[in-house]
Amino acid sequence: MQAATSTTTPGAPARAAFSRPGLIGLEGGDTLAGMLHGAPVAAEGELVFTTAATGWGEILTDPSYAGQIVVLTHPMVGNYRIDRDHLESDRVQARGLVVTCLVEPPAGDGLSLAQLADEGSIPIVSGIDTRALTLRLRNGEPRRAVIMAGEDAEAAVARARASARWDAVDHVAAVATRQPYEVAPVGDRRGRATLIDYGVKRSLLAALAARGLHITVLPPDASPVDVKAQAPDLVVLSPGPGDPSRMTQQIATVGTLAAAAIDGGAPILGVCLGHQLLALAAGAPTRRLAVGHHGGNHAVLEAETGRVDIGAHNHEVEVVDSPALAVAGYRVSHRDLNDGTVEGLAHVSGRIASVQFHPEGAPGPIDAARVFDIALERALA
Amino acid sequence: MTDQPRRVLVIGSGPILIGQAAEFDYAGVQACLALREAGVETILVNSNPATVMTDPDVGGTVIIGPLTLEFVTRVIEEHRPDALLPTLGGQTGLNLAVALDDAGVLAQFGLRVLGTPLAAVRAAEDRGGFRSLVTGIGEPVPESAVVESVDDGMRFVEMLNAPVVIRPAFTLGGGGGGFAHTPAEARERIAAGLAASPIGQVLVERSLLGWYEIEFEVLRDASDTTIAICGMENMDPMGVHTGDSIVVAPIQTLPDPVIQRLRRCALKIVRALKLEGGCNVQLAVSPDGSDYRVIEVNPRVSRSSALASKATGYPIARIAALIALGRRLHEMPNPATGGNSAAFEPAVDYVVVKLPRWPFDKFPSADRSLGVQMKATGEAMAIDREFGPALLKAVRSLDPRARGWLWEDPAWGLADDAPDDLAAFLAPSDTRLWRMVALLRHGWTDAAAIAAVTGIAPWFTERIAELVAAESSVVGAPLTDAKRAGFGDADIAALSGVPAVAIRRARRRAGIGPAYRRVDTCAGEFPATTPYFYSSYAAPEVRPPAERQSVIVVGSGPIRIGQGIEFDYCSVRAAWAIREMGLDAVVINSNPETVSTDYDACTRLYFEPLDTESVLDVIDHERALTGTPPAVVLTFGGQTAIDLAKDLAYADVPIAGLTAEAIEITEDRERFAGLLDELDLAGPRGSLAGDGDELRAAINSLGGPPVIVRPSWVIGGRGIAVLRSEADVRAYLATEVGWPLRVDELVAGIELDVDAISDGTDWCVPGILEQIDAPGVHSGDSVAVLPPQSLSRAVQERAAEAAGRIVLALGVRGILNVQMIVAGDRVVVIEANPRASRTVPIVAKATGRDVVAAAVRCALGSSLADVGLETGLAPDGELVAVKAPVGSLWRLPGVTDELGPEMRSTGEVLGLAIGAEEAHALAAEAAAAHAPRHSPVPEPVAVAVGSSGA
Repeated sequence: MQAATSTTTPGAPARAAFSRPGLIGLEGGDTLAGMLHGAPVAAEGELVFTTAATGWGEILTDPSYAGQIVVLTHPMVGNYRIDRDHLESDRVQARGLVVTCLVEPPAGDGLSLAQLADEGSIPIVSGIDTRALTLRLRNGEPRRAVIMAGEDAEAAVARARASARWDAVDHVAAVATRQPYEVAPVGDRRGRATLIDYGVKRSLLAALAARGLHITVLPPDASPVDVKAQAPDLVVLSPGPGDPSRMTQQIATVGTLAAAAIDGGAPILGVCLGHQLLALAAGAPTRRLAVGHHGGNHAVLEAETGRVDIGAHNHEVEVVDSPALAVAGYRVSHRDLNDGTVEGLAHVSGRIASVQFHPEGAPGPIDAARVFDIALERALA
Repeated sequence: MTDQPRRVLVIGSGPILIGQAAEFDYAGVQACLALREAGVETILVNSNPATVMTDPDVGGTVIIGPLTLEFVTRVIEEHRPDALLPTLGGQTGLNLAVALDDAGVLAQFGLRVLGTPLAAVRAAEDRGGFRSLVTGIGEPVPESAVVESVDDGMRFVEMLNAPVVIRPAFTLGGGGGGFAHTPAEARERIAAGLAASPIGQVLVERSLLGWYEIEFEVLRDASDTTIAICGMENMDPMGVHTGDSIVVAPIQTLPDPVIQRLRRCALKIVRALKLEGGCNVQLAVSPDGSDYRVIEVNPRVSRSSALASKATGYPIARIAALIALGRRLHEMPNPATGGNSAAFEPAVDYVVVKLPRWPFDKFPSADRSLGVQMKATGEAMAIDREFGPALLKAVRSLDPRARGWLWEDPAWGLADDAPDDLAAFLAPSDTRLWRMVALLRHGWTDAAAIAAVTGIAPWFTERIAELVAAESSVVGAPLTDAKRAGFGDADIAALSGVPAVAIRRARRRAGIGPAYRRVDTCAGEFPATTPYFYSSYAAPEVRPPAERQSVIVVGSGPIRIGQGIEFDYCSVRAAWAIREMGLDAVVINSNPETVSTDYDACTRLYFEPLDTESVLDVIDHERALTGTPPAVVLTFGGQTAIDLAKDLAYADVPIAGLTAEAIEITEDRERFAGLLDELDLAGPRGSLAGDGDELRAAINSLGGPPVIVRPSWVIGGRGIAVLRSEADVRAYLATEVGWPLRVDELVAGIELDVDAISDGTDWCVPGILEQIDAPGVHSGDSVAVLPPQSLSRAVQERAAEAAGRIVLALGVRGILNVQMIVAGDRVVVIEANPRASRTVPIVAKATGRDVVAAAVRCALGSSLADVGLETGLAPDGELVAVKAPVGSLWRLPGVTDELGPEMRSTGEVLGLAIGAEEAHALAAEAAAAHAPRHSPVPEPVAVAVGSSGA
């Protein structure tokens, strides 16, 4: 839908199309007043801030943001029109967006951010001091929130408190594919990958396809038999939203796949949620980060090579560096240089590797894209 | 770290020139301090005395001398450094390093080049080498072909199918070249170019005119960790030098995939060059974002890296210096958060706007168009949460007393008519921003049309149009709305038809004031302790704990002719002295190039305009923060700071060591003449003239020309002129005269610059500068020597005594500069400035005394004895110092080269030696190293020094 809601007329640029007063209700007990844009609906979710200054289309359509209301720390938002080719899934996945200043972009092709939100049935709330809100979240402010129209503070807070906790919901089932599908390689086919979709981004599929992989995408409940039936050269465990520790079935499946890989079966690449599932399958716990990593500026150190890469991060949960990892034959291959978070695992067999960050970027740098090259090499060896 | 060098030679950048300003002092200071913290000795060579880096507690072994191959070779021979850090001294330093290498000096003395390998420097600098390097790694440069016939040229043009620029080979100033938008134009231009070239050769190059210009500041270490500190967007598209462009950070208008593609390209180039340190990469991107070209690579710290450091809080030069020592980015602590690693890319949650400062106010006859040759002498930066308020604040920072946002030139005639030719009206110039604003204000055109004509991204023109639209809702709407939109009190006052002070009063009554936000490099993700703040009309942030008395040092803003880097030197030394006294040193400044806007140089830094509104807001905030009224020091920020005195006094803010009354006496020439009478000191004979007739009468009463005329409140001699004939009088009257004028005899004699420090009871003169050029030449443009070589000690003591009496009579505690002329037995006092002047760094370097620390301590209540100064004229030291001016105004077409009371030089060099002749020779050599072919400043060699002994 190319919504014709732009009110931009030459010479009289409007800040954003339709807007009306609204507020954010915080479970902690207070409210923040702002203006609402996008779809005329309320939104419940957990607040999470990202320091990415651009890539709003990518962020809103990233399935990993399911169940979350995204707070943008950069104050000028919506500056350019969004190209549909840069969206990361077929719909808006985040529950809502909180910004300081929503700009109506110059006329041209593509969607304004407000149009994308409208299309995706989510609200944007502007006029919020997102730095102040970010500092509160960083300092431990409870995260459940609601965006709604009007001025009823009491109702807003009550609704935020009544809303579902992010880690109590099966977000994966809501965002992942229900039917298997195929993605053709770009150029010559060099191998076959089977990707279990927990909430994959198009950029990840594109990065694999660009390396000559024909990809079969399976739903999140795919069994080890389903995977084996594809006779893949590489198994990819995709990123996705939510708390991985509640995904009992998937953990068991990943455990079986990992055992097979170690045994000489198809090697495995885990990304983000896929990485967490590998750790859980190995008996290592995961836990919620005090402050999630969301942005495109963190550096990760690769232990073996000493290489440092700036990467795109988007995770609320981390793998705990526990003895179970070593017992299962894993070493920590990557660490975040800011807070030491486990950002990658490598199995001693050389057949399993995983990263917590997003080598596919989108938004953000792809400095560590060689993760895919190495996985491909291993798959074709 | 076993191979860490022991003694590192650091080359400075020499005098301030257009395109090479305070940013290299900032870089040098950061680097020297970092090296010394790492246990490395530094040997610093620089010819510019008005720098912080040339103080021994910063530079280590400091050698003030010419930046020439011969001199630096001698330094190496004598001091035997084992390594050279060449990337801190701008192009000057880099060129010198290459020259030392070419001459075999580095090999002969076994100097290792730290950081960037010289091969990388050569590759980046050499046009052919650069092209082949960039294309070799698969990155695009502007396509070009060297042709010797029209047919060959047209074949290239047809293949390219895009606008081209034709550059004939070996023609002076590119004569015969130009842009061609159509094949027909190209054919014509190529033919003309071939004819113009003495060797019948032209370069046909793809024109990128109108493409957007993007810069990345990149750091790389020896383990190949490469990070982009900041991406910056030039509002002015390609065709305007980035130093003359309005620059915005972070990049606002490009989609993430385009930004990522450009960033990857920048990183790839820096990796290919194997740089270890900082690098600037300039890229052009087509307006639709689909295509880009690599324009330029600067393998060193630069004006842009200083801007990026201030824009993000990430100290690029400091980290680059440590990288040069072999440190790895991921092993160094995060400089802002104190966290684990310096390997991260800053995230910012605000918008930064930089505006250039041009010298056209002093040279109205200069060609004010902007192009590929930089014309700005300095710049101002502003930070705010959104672009609009940041832009308005940057305008306020540019020159608090000149053009504000609402300024329009009546000559544009926009009140009556739209301009005939919009494109010509909006051609790049120093006034383009104001022209756009005025067009929108009068409704002659819209944002889209301006974007189409100028090539400026529509996002910017639409934001500017929003600001103009907001002007009309200032009146009648709540004051908070206007402040949130970013309008200054003065603008709101002008729009509402009330005095600015009424707006301030209304704000105070309603409790409307800015909050101060921290620049933390991480957009709030981690706790940070950077003491670096900007104002914004937003909710207050957690306040840093401060229970001590704070002293505010008001800086001097953008570098301009007549108010240069010397005031940054003074501000920094003042802040350091305050910190050493156990007080909180608070700095306010708006110039991103400087050492004073390094948050490491003070206890708290406020990056703010130096106008009444912002300075008073900071004072209010500091009072709330510390619970005590802060002391305010205006003495070290040049005329910009002194200009605030009246408004501060009106707001009941006491000024340390100074009263508004004292300032007024020195600035009102009649009252000053009265003071001289009282003190039984001679001033020049003269009188006041209110119009042309009175001017002629005044000249007659002095016995005819020559006379010198001066308006009050002047920086660097603006409006001052020597009138030698009736023709001069007529010419002067044809200019915009600031009446009333003081008309004085032009006293013939020897001009002296005397700095007096006083504690209110006693005075001390640490040094006197003797001007070598005849009176009438601006002292900033004159060669000068310290101590005076042609005056007896007795005469010098009389001069010092005169300055001492003035400083005591004015009740000034701190420092005062007096200019006087010695004519035979007569000591004639010309003027006094109750502030530090251009001479302070020279006196400090020549005498080895921290003159600024002494002055600021006296201003805060210490006695001369406390600060270790003897009363009276200090005895001559061992060294003789000769200062020579260096200019770069030859770069401004339309500026004449005649020296006079209007200051023209942009910088200065110093020769320091045991004897006057040697000092003079060094100064001459140092100045010649930077002398252009057509410098308006005469070679100082021609002037005799030391003709008569003391």
